[in-house]
Amino acid sequence: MDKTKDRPLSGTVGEVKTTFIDTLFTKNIVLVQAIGISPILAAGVTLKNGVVLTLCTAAVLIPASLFMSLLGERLPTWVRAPIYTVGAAAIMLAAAAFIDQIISHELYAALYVFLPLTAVNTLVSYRAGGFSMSQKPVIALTDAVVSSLGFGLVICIVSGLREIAAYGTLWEKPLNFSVVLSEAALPYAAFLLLGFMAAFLHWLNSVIDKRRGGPEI
Amino acid sequence: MSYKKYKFARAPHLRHSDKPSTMCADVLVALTPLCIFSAVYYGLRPVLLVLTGLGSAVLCETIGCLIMRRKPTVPDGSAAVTGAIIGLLVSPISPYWVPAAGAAFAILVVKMPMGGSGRNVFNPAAAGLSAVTLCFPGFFFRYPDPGTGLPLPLSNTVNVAVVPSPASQLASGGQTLYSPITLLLGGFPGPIGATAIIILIACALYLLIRRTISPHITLPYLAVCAALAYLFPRVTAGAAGSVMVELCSGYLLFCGIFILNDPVTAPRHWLGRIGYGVLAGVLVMLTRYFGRFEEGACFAVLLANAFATTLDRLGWYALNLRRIRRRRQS
Repeated sequence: MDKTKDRPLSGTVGEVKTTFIDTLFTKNIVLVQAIGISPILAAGVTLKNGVVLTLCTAAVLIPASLFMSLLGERLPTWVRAPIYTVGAAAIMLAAAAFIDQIISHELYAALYVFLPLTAVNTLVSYRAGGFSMSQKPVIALTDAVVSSLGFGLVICIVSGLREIAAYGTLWEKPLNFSVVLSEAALPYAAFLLLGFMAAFLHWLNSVIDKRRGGPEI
Repeated sequence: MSYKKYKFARAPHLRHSDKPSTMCADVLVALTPLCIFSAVYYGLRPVLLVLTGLGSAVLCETIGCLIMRRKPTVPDGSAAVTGAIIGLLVSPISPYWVPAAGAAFAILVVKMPMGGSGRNVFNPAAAGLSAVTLCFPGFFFRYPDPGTGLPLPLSNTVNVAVVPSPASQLASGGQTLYSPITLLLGGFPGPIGATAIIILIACALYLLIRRTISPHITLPYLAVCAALAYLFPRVTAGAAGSVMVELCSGYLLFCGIFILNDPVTAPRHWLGRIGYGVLAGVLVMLTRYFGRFEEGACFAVLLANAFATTLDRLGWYALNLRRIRRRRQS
Protein backbone atom coordinates (compact mmCIF):
# COMPACT_ATOMS: atom_id res chain seq x y z
CA MET A 1 0.00 0.00 0.00
CA ASP A 2 1.32 3.42 -0.82
CA LYS A 3 1.53 5.19 2.49
CA THR A 4 2.52 8.52 1.00
CA LYS A 5 -0.51 8.79 -1.23
CA ASP A 6 -2.81 10.52 1.22
CA ARG A 7 -0.06 12.72 2.68
CA PRO A 8 0.14 16.44 2.00
CA LEU A 9 2.97 17.36 -0.31
CA SER A 10 3.26 21.13 0.12
CA GLY A 11 4.05 22.99 3.29
CA THR A 12 1.00 25.23 3.82
CA VAL A 13 -0.25 25.89 7.30
CA GLY A 14 -3.31 23.73 6.84
CA GLU A 15 -1.26 20.74 5.78
CA VAL A 16 1.23 21.16 8.60
CA LYS A 17 -1.78 21.16 10.93
CA THR A 18 -3.18 18.02 9.30
CA THR A 19 0.19 16.27 9.66
CA PHE A 20 0.32 17.38 13.27
CA ILE A 21 -3.09 16.02 14.23
CA ASP A 22 -2.65 12.92 12.06
CA THR A 23 0.67 11.90 13.54
CA LEU A 24 -0.13 12.80 17.14
CA PHE A 25 -3.63 11.37 17.48
CA THR A 26 -5.32 9.75 14.50
CA LYS A 27 -2.28 7.70 13.54
CA ASN A 28 -0.33 7.83 16.79
CA ILE A 29 3.03 6.20 16.22
CA VAL A 30 2.81 3.86 19.22
CA LEU A 31 -0.88 3.29 19.79
CA VAL A 32 -2.12 2.97 16.21
CA GLN A 33 0.96 2.01 14.21
CA ALA A 34 2.47 -0.09 17.06
CA ILE A 35 6.00 1.17 16.45
CA GLY A 36 8.64 1.73 19.12
CA ILE A 37 6.95 -0.37 21.78
CA SER A 38 10.06 -2.13 23.12
CA PRO A 39 11.63 0.80 25.03
CA ILE A 40 8.22 1.54 26.59
CA LEU A 41 7.87 -2.04 27.84
CA ALA A 42 11.38 -2.47 29.14
CA ALA A 43 12.70 0.94 30.11
CA GLY A 44 9.53 3.00 30.63
CA VAL A 45 9.40 2.25 34.33
CA THR A 46 9.98 5.72 35.76
CA LEU A 47 8.92 9.09 34.40
CA LYS A 48 12.55 10.26 34.25
CA ASN A 49 13.47 7.34 31.96
CA GLY A 50 10.45 8.20 29.81
CA VAL A 51 11.44 11.83 29.38
CA VAL A 52 15.08 10.96 28.63
CA LEU A 53 14.06 8.38 26.02
CA THR A 54 11.69 10.91 24.44
CA LEU A 55 14.44 13.52 24.19
CA CYS A 56 16.84 10.95 22.73
CA THR A 57 14.28 9.85 20.18
CA ALA A 58 13.67 13.46 19.18
CA ALA A 59 17.41 14.13 18.98
CA VAL A 60 17.82 11.22 16.58
CA LEU A 61 14.61 11.50 14.59
CA ILE A 62 14.57 15.23 13.78
CA PRO A 63 18.00 15.43 12.07
CA ALA A 64 17.47 12.07 10.36
CA SER A 65 14.07 13.10 8.94
CA LEU A 66 15.31 16.50 7.85
CA PHE A 67 18.36 14.98 6.19
CA MET A 68 16.34 12.34 4.37
CA SER A 69 13.75 14.84 3.08
CA LEU A 70 16.52 17.18 1.84
CA LEU A 71 18.93 14.69 0.33
CA GLY A 72 17.23 11.31 0.49
CA GLU A 73 15.98 11.11 -3.08
CA ARG A 74 19.35 12.07 -4.53
CA LEU A 75 21.05 9.14 -2.83
CA PRO A 76 20.91 5.62 -4.24
CA THR A 77 18.46 3.35 -2.38
CA TRP A 78 21.07 1.01 -0.95
CA VAL A 79 23.00 3.78 0.76
CA ARG A 80 20.04 5.54 2.44
CA ALA A 81 19.47 3.16 5.33
CA PRO A 82 23.17 2.87 6.31
CA ILE A 83 23.55 6.66 6.24
CA TYR A 84 20.68 7.50 8.56
CA THR A 85 21.47 4.56 10.84
CA VAL A 86 25.13 5.55 11.19
CA GLY A 87 24.12 9.18 11.68
CA ALA A 88 21.58 8.21 14.32
CA ALA A 89 24.15 6.01 16.05
CA ALA A 90 26.67 8.87 16.12
CA ILE A 91 24.09 11.20 17.69
CA MET A 92 23.14 8.52 20.22
CA LEU A 93 26.78 7.95 21.13
CA ALA A 94 27.17 11.62 21.93
CA ALA A 95 23.86 11.67 23.84
CA ALA A 96 24.82 8.59 25.87
CA ALA A 97 28.20 10.07 26.76
CA PHE A 98 26.47 13.33 27.72
CA ILE A 99 24.00 11.54 30.00
CA ASP A 100 26.71 9.37 31.56
CA GLN A 101 29.27 12.11 32.21
CA ILE A 102 27.21 15.23 32.81
CA ILE A 103 23.68 14.34 33.92
CA SER A 104 23.94 11.24 36.09
CA HIS A 105 25.63 7.89 35.92
CA GLU A 106 22.68 6.17 37.65
CA LEU A 107 20.30 7.30 34.92
CA TYR A 108 22.71 6.00 32.30
CA ALA A 109 23.02 2.70 34.15
CA ALA A 110 19.22 2.41 34.42
CA LEU A 111 18.72 2.96 30.70
CA TYR A 112 21.91 1.12 29.71
CA VAL A 113 21.10 -0.85 26.56
CA PHE A 114 18.00 1.13 25.60
CA LEU A 115 19.89 4.32 24.79
CA PRO A 116 21.93 2.85 21.90
CA LEU A 117 18.84 0.89 20.81
CA THR A 118 17.02 4.19 20.21
CA ALA A 119 19.29 4.74 17.19
CA VAL A 120 18.06 1.58 15.48
CA ASN A 121 14.47 1.90 16.69
CA THR A 122 11.95 1.08 13.96
CA LEU A 123 10.51 4.51 14.70
CA VAL A 124 13.56 6.15 13.10
CA SER A 125 13.73 3.92 10.06
CA TYR A 126 9.98 4.13 9.50
CA ARG A 127 9.56 7.89 9.83
CA ALA A 128 12.95 9.03 8.46
CA GLY A 129 13.48 6.31 5.88
CA GLY A 130 9.87 5.87 4.84
CA PHE A 131 7.73 8.93 5.36
CA SER A 132 10.21 11.83 5.09
CA MET A 133 11.66 10.72 1.75
CA SER A 134 8.95 12.13 -0.46
CA GLN A 135 8.01 15.08 1.74
CA LYS A 136 8.94 18.72 1.83
CA PRO A 137 11.38 19.58 4.63
CA VAL A 138 8.74 21.50 6.60
CA ILE A 139 6.34 18.57 6.59
CA ALA A 140 9.14 16.11 7.39
CA LEU A 141 10.28 18.30 10.28
CA THR A 142 6.72 18.61 11.63
CA ASP A 143 6.29 14.87 11.33
CA ALA A 144 9.56 14.15 13.14
CA VAL A 145 8.75 16.56 15.97
CA VAL A 146 5.19 15.29 16.33
CA SER A 147 6.25 11.63 16.07
CA SER A 148 8.66 12.21 18.95
CA LEU A 149 5.91 14.05 20.77
CA GLY A 150 3.43 11.21 20.20
CA PHE A 151 5.97 8.65 21.35
CA GLY A 152 6.82 10.88 24.32
CA LEU A 153 3.20 11.35 25.29
CA VAL A 154 2.61 7.59 25.40
CA ILE A 155 5.87 6.67 27.15
CA CYS A 156 5.40 9.45 29.72
CA ILE A 157 1.84 8.37 30.56
CA VAL A 158 2.85 4.69 30.77
CA SER A 159 6.06 5.27 32.71
CA GLY A 160 4.44 7.80 35.04
CA LEU A 161 1.58 5.43 35.89
CA ARG A 162 4.02 2.54 36.32
CA GLU A 163 6.27 4.61 38.58
CA ILE A 164 3.30 5.57 40.76
CA ALA A 165 2.10 1.97 40.95
CA ALA A 166 5.45 0.24 41.36
CA TYR A 167 7.42 2.61 43.58
CA GLY A 168 4.82 5.06 44.90
CA THR A 169 6.81 7.99 43.54
CA LEU A 170 6.55 10.44 40.62
CA TRP A 171 9.74 11.99 39.24
CA GLU A 172 11.45 10.42 42.29
CA LYS A 173 9.23 12.38 44.68
CA PRO A 174 7.36 10.14 47.16
CA LEU A 175 3.58 10.34 46.97
CA ASN A 176 2.98 8.58 50.31
CA PHE A 177 0.92 5.69 48.99
CA SER A 178 0.27 2.81 51.32
CA VAL A 179 -0.36 0.28 48.53
CA VAL A 180 2.59 -0.36 46.25
CA LEU A 181 2.27 -2.87 43.43
CA SER A 182 5.87 -3.68 42.59
CA GLU A 183 4.81 -5.94 39.72
CA ALA A 184 3.70 -2.93 37.68
CA ALA A 185 7.36 -2.62 36.66
CA LEU A 186 7.08 -5.90 34.72
CA PRO A 187 6.55 -5.62 30.94
CA TYR A 188 3.07 -7.15 31.08
CA ALA A 189 1.72 -4.12 32.95
CA ALA A 190 2.93 -1.88 30.13
CA PHE A 191 1.32 -4.17 27.55
CA LEU A 192 -2.00 -3.90 29.40
CA LEU A 193 -1.75 -0.12 29.67
CA LEU A 194 -0.84 0.22 25.99
CA GLY A 195 -3.74 -2.02 25.02
CA PHE A 196 -6.23 0.05 26.98
CA MET A 197 -4.77 3.32 25.67
CA ALA A 198 -4.92 2.05 22.09
CA ALA A 199 -8.54 0.98 22.57
CA PHE A 200 -9.39 4.38 24.08
CA LEU A 201 -7.77 6.22 21.18
CA HIS A 202 -9.59 4.02 18.68
CA TRP A 203 -12.89 4.78 20.40
CA LEU A 204 -12.08 8.50 20.47
CA ASN A 205 -11.23 8.49 16.76
CA SER A 206 -14.42 6.65 15.89
CA VAL A 207 -16.49 9.12 17.92
CA ILE A 208 -14.81 12.07 16.17
CA ASP A 209 -15.33 10.45 12.78
CA LYS A 210 -18.98 9.86 13.55
CA ARG A 211 -19.44 13.52 14.55
CA ARG A 212 -17.87 14.59 11.29
CA GLY A 213 -20.28 12.32 9.48
CA GLY A 214 -17.59 10.06 8.08
CA PRO A 215 -17.75 6.28 7.95
CA GLU A 216 -17.51 4.42 11.23
CA ILE A 217 -14.16 2.70 11.79
CA MET B 1 -18.55 -14.87 -2.89
CA SER B 2 -21.09 -13.35 -0.59
CA TYR B 3 -20.63 -13.99 3.10
CA LYS B 4 -24.23 -13.09 3.75
CA LYS B 5 -25.46 -16.62 3.36
CA TYR B 6 -23.29 -17.78 6.26
CA LYS B 7 -24.53 -17.57 9.79
CA PHE B 8 -22.08 -15.90 12.15
CA ALA B 9 -21.95 -17.13 15.73
CA ARG B 10 -19.80 -16.51 18.74
CA ALA B 11 -17.66 -19.18 20.39
CA PRO B 12 -18.17 -21.74 21.90
CA HIS B 13 -18.99 -23.51 18.63
CA LEU B 14 -20.83 -26.57 19.83
CA ARG B 15 -21.61 -29.51 17.62
CA HIS B 16 -24.25 -31.13 19.74
CA SER B 17 -27.45 -29.73 21.10
CA ASP B 18 -25.93 -28.32 24.30
CA LYS B 19 -26.12 -24.63 25.02
CA PRO B 20 -23.29 -22.69 26.69
CA SER B 21 -25.42 -22.42 29.81
CA THR B 22 -25.78 -26.21 30.16
CA MET B 23 -22.02 -26.64 29.75
CA CYS B 24 -21.31 -24.08 32.43
CA ALA B 25 -23.92 -25.69 34.67
CA ASP B 26 -22.10 -29.02 34.18
CA VAL B 27 -18.80 -27.48 35.19
CA LEU B 28 -20.36 -25.80 38.23
CA VAL B 29 -21.91 -29.14 39.25
CA ALA B 30 -18.46 -30.76 38.92
CA LEU B 31 -16.86 -28.01 41.00
CA THR B 32 -19.33 -28.40 43.89
CA PRO B 33 -17.89 -31.67 45.36
CA LEU B 34 -14.42 -30.09 45.40
CA CYS B 35 -15.83 -27.26 47.45
CA ILE B 36 -17.57 -29.65 49.84
CA PHE B 37 -14.38 -31.73 50.19
CA SER B 38 -12.44 -28.63 51.12
CA ALA B 39 -15.09 -27.66 53.66
CA VAL B 40 -14.61 -31.03 55.40
CA TYR B 41 -10.92 -30.24 55.97
CA TYR B 42 -10.92 -26.50 56.55
CA GLY B 43 -14.45 -25.53 57.63
CA LEU B 44 -16.60 -22.89 55.99
CA ARG B 45 -13.80 -20.48 54.93
CA PRO B 46 -12.90 -22.09 51.56
CA VAL B 47 -16.59 -22.14 50.56
CA LEU B 48 -16.83 -18.43 51.34
CA LEU B 49 -13.65 -17.79 49.32
CA VAL B 50 -15.11 -19.60 46.30
CA LEU B 51 -18.39 -17.71 46.65
CA THR B 52 -16.47 -14.42 46.90
CA GLY B 53 -14.67 -15.17 43.63
CA LEU B 54 -17.94 -16.22 41.97
CA GLY B 55 -19.85 -13.19 43.23
CA SER B 56 -17.10 -10.80 42.19
CA ALA B 57 -16.97 -12.28 38.67
CA VAL B 58 -20.76 -12.10 38.23
CA LEU B 59 -20.85 -8.53 39.57
CA CYS B 60 -18.03 -7.43 37.25
CA GLU B 61 -19.69 -9.10 34.26
CA THR B 62 -22.93 -7.24 35.02
CA ILE B 63 -21.06 -3.94 35.33
CA GLY B 64 -19.15 -4.64 32.10
CA CYS B 65 -22.37 -5.42 30.22
CA LEU B 66 -23.98 -2.25 31.56
CA ILE B 67 -21.00 -0.14 30.46
CA MET B 68 -21.01 -1.76 27.01
CA ARG B 69 -24.80 -1.36 26.84
CA ARG B 70 -25.25 -5.02 25.99
CA LYS B 71 -27.75 -7.58 27.11
CA PRO B 72 -26.29 -9.12 30.30
CA THR B 73 -24.39 -12.34 29.56
CA VAL B 74 -24.47 -13.48 33.18
CA PRO B 75 -27.15 -16.19 32.59
CA ASP B 76 -24.82 -18.17 30.29
CA GLY B 77 -22.78 -18.95 33.41
CA SER B 78 -19.31 -18.38 32.00
CA ALA B 79 -18.55 -15.61 34.48
CA ALA B 80 -19.69 -17.79 37.37
CA VAL B 81 -17.36 -20.60 36.20
CA THR B 82 -14.44 -18.18 35.90
CA GLY B 83 -15.01 -16.79 39.39
CA ALA B 84 -15.47 -20.24 40.92
CA ILE B 85 -12.26 -21.56 39.29
CA ILE B 86 -10.27 -18.61 40.64
CA GLY B 87 -11.84 -19.10 44.08
CA LEU B 88 -10.94 -22.81 44.02
CA LEU B 89 -7.29 -22.22 43.17
CA VAL B 90 -6.38 -19.76 45.92
CA SER B 91 -5.03 -20.85 49.28
CA PRO B 92 -7.60 -21.61 52.03
CA ILE B 93 -5.98 -18.95 54.23
CA SER B 94 -5.77 -16.20 51.61
CA PRO B 95 -7.71 -13.00 52.36
CA TYR B 96 -11.15 -12.68 50.76
CA TRP B 97 -10.04 -9.86 48.49
CA VAL B 98 -7.56 -12.13 46.65
CA PRO B 99 -10.16 -14.20 44.70
CA ALA B 100 -12.30 -11.06 44.37
CA ALA B 101 -9.40 -9.13 42.80
CA GLY B 102 -8.48 -12.07 40.56
CA ALA B 103 -12.05 -12.44 39.31
CA ALA B 104 -12.38 -8.69 38.76
CA PHE B 105 -9.14 -8.65 36.73
CA ALA B 106 -10.29 -11.69 34.74
CA ILE B 107 -13.62 -10.15 33.76
CA LEU B 108 -12.85 -6.42 33.54
CA VAL B 109 -9.38 -6.61 31.96
CA VAL B 110 -9.26 -9.89 30.06
CA LYS B 111 -12.82 -10.76 29.09
CA MET B 112 -14.97 -7.67 28.61
CA PRO B 113 -12.49 -5.48 26.65
CA MET B 114 -12.13 -8.32 24.13
CA GLY B 115 -15.87 -8.22 23.54
CA GLY B 116 -17.32 -10.26 26.39
CA SER B 117 -18.58 -13.82 26.47
CA GLY B 118 -17.29 -16.00 23.64
CA ARG B 119 -14.93 -13.42 22.16
CA ASN B 120 -12.03 -13.54 24.61
CA VAL B 121 -8.67 -14.76 23.26
CA PHE B 122 -7.18 -15.70 26.61
CA ASN B 123 -8.75 -17.77 29.32
CA PRO B 124 -10.07 -15.26 31.89
CA ALA B 125 -9.60 -17.59 34.86
CA ALA B 126 -5.96 -18.32 33.98
CA ALA B 127 -5.29 -14.62 33.40
CA GLY B 128 -6.93 -13.60 36.70
CA LEU B 129 -4.90 -16.22 38.55
CA SER B 130 -1.69 -15.11 36.84
CA ALA B 131 -2.36 -11.51 37.82
CA VAL B 132 -2.93 -12.28 41.50
CA THR B 133 -0.01 -14.74 41.53
CA LEU B 134 2.33 -12.09 40.14
CA CYS B 135 1.03 -9.24 42.27
CA PHE B 136 0.55 -11.00 45.59
CA PRO B 137 2.82 -14.08 45.67
CA GLY B 138 3.01 -13.72 49.46
CA PHE B 139 -0.68 -14.57 49.81
CA PHE B 140 -0.73 -17.21 47.17
CA PHE B 141 1.58 -20.07 47.98
CA ARG B 142 0.98 -20.26 51.76
CA TYR B 143 -1.05 -23.32 52.60
CA PRO B 144 -2.34 -24.51 56.01
CA ASP B 145 -1.99 -28.08 57.25
CA PRO B 146 -5.19 -30.03 56.47
CA GLY B 147 -4.34 -32.70 59.06
CA THR B 148 -5.19 -30.63 62.14
CA GLY B 149 -8.90 -31.40 61.92
CA LEU B 150 -9.79 -27.90 63.10
CA PRO B 151 -11.82 -25.48 60.95
CA LEU B 152 -9.96 -22.34 59.90
CA PRO B 153 -11.00 -19.04 61.51
CA LEU B 154 -13.37 -17.15 59.22
CA SER B 155 -11.84 -13.71 59.61
CA ASN B 156 -8.20 -13.46 60.67
CA THR B 157 -5.80 -16.16 59.47
CA VAL B 158 -2.48 -14.52 60.34
CA ASN B 159 -1.83 -16.98 63.17
CA VAL B 160 -2.59 -20.14 61.17
CA ALA B 161 0.51 -22.34 60.84
CA VAL B 162 1.80 -22.72 57.28
CA VAL B 163 3.31 -25.97 55.99
CA PRO B 164 5.20 -26.58 52.75
CA SER B 165 3.10 -28.05 49.95
CA PRO B 166 4.37 -30.92 47.74
CA ALA B 167 4.83 -28.44 44.88
CA SER B 168 7.09 -26.21 46.98
CA GLN B 169 9.04 -29.26 48.18
CA LEU B 170 9.56 -30.20 44.53
CA ALA B 171 10.60 -26.66 43.63
CA SER B 172 13.11 -26.45 46.45
CA GLY B 173 14.53 -29.85 45.51
CA GLY B 174 13.63 -31.52 48.78
CA GLN B 175 12.24 -34.97 49.43
CA THR B 176 8.43 -34.99 49.45
CA LEU B 177 6.90 -36.24 52.67
CA TYR B 178 3.56 -37.39 51.29
CA SER B 179 2.78 -40.99 50.39
CA PRO B 180 0.95 -41.83 47.13
CA ILE B 181 -2.20 -42.74 49.10
CA THR B 182 -2.22 -39.37 50.88
CA LEU B 183 -1.71 -37.66 47.55
CA LEU B 184 -4.66 -39.51 46.00
CA LEU B 185 -6.96 -38.84 48.95
CA GLY B 186 -6.08 -35.16 49.05
CA GLY B 187 -4.84 -34.87 52.64
CA PHE B 188 -1.98 -32.56 51.72
CA PRO B 189 -1.61 -28.77 51.72
CA GLY B 190 -2.53 -27.05 48.49
CA PRO B 191 -5.13 -24.83 46.79
CA ILE B 192 -8.76 -25.21 47.93
CA GLY B 193 -10.08 -27.33 45.07
CA ALA B 194 -6.97 -28.90 43.57
CA THR B 195 -5.92 -31.38 46.25
CA ALA B 196 -8.78 -33.90 46.06
CA ILE B 197 -7.23 -35.98 43.27
CA ILE B 198 -9.79 -38.82 43.32
CA ILE B 199 -12.69 -36.36 43.23
CA LEU B 200 -10.98 -34.48 40.40
CA ILE B 201 -10.69 -37.70 38.40
CA ALA B 202 -14.38 -38.45 39.07
CA CYS B 203 -15.28 -34.91 37.94
CA ALA B 204 -13.23 -35.42 34.77
CA LEU B 205 -15.09 -38.66 34.01
CA TYR B 206 -18.46 -36.97 34.58
CA LEU B 207 -17.54 -34.09 32.28
CA LEU B 208 -16.14 -36.49 29.65
CA ILE B 209 -19.38 -38.47 29.63
CA ARG B 210 -21.37 -35.24 29.36
CA ARG B 211 -19.02 -34.27 26.49
CA THR B 212 -18.29 -30.97 28.23
CA ILE B 213 -14.54 -31.59 28.16
CA SER B 214 -12.56 -33.14 25.35
CA PRO B 215 -10.24 -36.15 25.81
CA HIS B 216 -8.17 -34.75 22.92
CA ILE B 217 -6.88 -31.97 25.18
CA THR B 218 -6.74 -33.49 28.65
CA LEU B 219 -5.18 -36.87 27.82
CA PRO B 220 -2.20 -35.60 25.73
CA TYR B 221 -1.66 -32.87 28.32
CA LEU B 222 -1.45 -35.35 31.20
CA ALA B 223 0.61 -37.80 29.12
CA VAL B 224 3.21 -35.15 28.30
CA CYS B 225 3.36 -33.96 31.91
CA ALA B 226 3.80 -37.56 33.10
CA ALA B 227 6.45 -38.29 30.45
CA LEU B 228 8.45 -35.18 31.35
CA ALA B 229 8.15 -35.97 35.08
CA TYR B 230 9.34 -39.53 34.34
CA LEU B 231 12.29 -38.40 32.23
CA PHE B 232 13.43 -35.54 34.44
CA PRO B 233 12.52 -36.45 38.03
CA ARG B 234 13.02 -33.80 40.70
CA VAL B 235 12.60 -36.21 43.63
CA THR B 236 14.91 -38.90 44.91
CA ALA B 237 12.05 -41.43 45.10
CA GLY B 238 12.58 -42.51 41.50
CA ALA B 239 10.83 -41.92 38.24
CA ALA B 240 7.44 -43.43 39.17
CA GLY B 241 7.31 -41.44 42.40
CA SER B 242 8.17 -38.31 40.46
CA VAL B 243 5.23 -38.83 38.08
CA MET B 244 2.86 -39.29 41.02
CA VAL B 245 4.00 -36.21 42.93
CA GLU B 246 4.25 -33.94 39.87
CA LEU B 247 0.76 -34.83 38.64
CA CYS B 248 -0.89 -34.52 42.06
CA SER B 249 0.83 -31.42 43.40
CA GLY B 250 -0.08 -27.83 42.62
CA TYR B 251 -3.06 -27.43 40.32
CA LEU B 252 -1.74 -29.25 37.26
CA LEU B 253 -4.61 -31.77 37.13
CA PHE B 254 -7.28 -29.16 37.90
CA CYS B 255 -5.88 -26.99 35.12
CA GLY B 256 -5.97 -29.86 32.62
CA ILE B 257 -9.61 -30.63 33.41
CA PHE B 258 -11.25 -27.24 33.93
CA ILE B 259 -9.10 -24.46 32.49
CA LEU B 260 -7.58 -25.99 29.35
CA ASN B 261 -10.96 -27.28 28.19
CA ASP B 262 -12.55 -23.85 28.03
CA PRO B 263 -14.50 -24.17 24.73
CA VAL B 264 -13.92 -20.49 23.84
CA THR B 265 -10.12 -20.39 23.99
CA ALA B 266 -9.20 -23.98 23.04
CA PRO B 267 -8.82 -25.07 19.39
CA ARG B 268 -11.85 -26.73 17.73
CA HIS B 269 -10.08 -29.20 15.48
CA TRP B 270 -9.22 -32.53 17.08
CA LEU B 271 -5.61 -32.56 15.85
CA GLY B 272 -5.19 -28.95 16.91
CA ARG B 273 -6.55 -29.93 20.32
CA ILE B 274 -3.96 -32.67 20.67
CA GLY B 275 -1.22 -30.21 19.77
CA TYR B 276 -2.70 -27.73 22.24
CA GLY B 277 -2.65 -30.32 25.04
CA VAL B 278 0.94 -31.30 24.25
CA LEU B 279 2.07 -27.67 24.09
CA ALA B 280 0.34 -26.83 27.37
CA GLY B 281 1.89 -29.90 29.05
CA VAL B 282 5.41 -28.95 27.93
CA LEU B 283 4.89 -25.33 29.02
CA VAL B 284 3.49 -26.33 32.42
CA MET B 285 6.48 -28.54 33.16
CA LEU B 286 8.90 -25.86 31.90
CA THR B 287 7.35 -23.20 34.14
CA ARG B 288 7.60 -25.64 37.04
CA TYR B 289 11.23 -26.54 36.37
CA PHE B 290 12.54 -23.08 35.56
CA GLY B 291 9.83 -20.69 36.74
CA ARG B 292 9.91 -18.25 39.60
CA PHE B 293 6.95 -19.85 41.36
CA GLU B 294 6.25 -23.41 42.51
CA GLU B 295 3.26 -23.62 40.15
CA GLY B 296 2.93 -21.82 36.86
CA ALA B 297 0.16 -23.72 35.09
CA CYS B 298 -1.89 -20.54 34.61
CA PHE B 299 0.99 -18.85 32.76
CA ALA B 300 1.41 -21.94 30.60
CA VAL B 301 -2.30 -21.89 29.70
CA LEU B 302 -2.07 -18.23 28.67
CA LEU B 303 0.91 -18.99 26.42
CA ALA B 304 -0.89 -21.98 24.91
CA ASN B 305 -4.02 -19.83 24.32
CA ALA B 306 -1.96 -17.56 22.10
CA PHE B 307 -1.28 -20.52 19.79
CA ALA B 308 -4.82 -21.93 19.76
CA THR B 309 -5.87 -20.47 16.39
CA THR B 310 -2.55 -21.40 14.77
CA LEU B 311 -2.83 -24.96 16.05
CA ASP B 312 -6.37 -25.16 14.71
CA ARG B 313 -5.19 -24.20 11.23
CA LEU B 314 -2.11 -26.42 11.43
CA GLY B 315 -4.27 -29.40 12.38
CA TRP B 316 -6.54 -28.79 9.40
CA TYR B 317 -3.57 -28.36 7.03
CA ALA B 318 -1.88 -31.54 8.31
CA LEU B 319 -4.99 -33.57 7.52
CA ASN B 320 -5.69 -31.95 4.15
CA LEU B 321 -2.10 -31.78 2.91
CA ARG B 322 -2.68 -34.21 0.05
CA ARG B 323 -5.77 -32.40 -1.16
CA ILE B 324 -4.03 -29.01 -0.99
CA ARG B 325 -1.04 -30.34 -2.95
CA ARG B 326 -3.27 -31.87 -5.61
CA ARG B 327 -5.13 -28.60 -6.04
CA ARG B 328 -1.86 -26.69 -6.36
CA GLN B 329 -0.61 -29.07 -9.02
CA SER B 330 -3.77 -28.77 -11.07
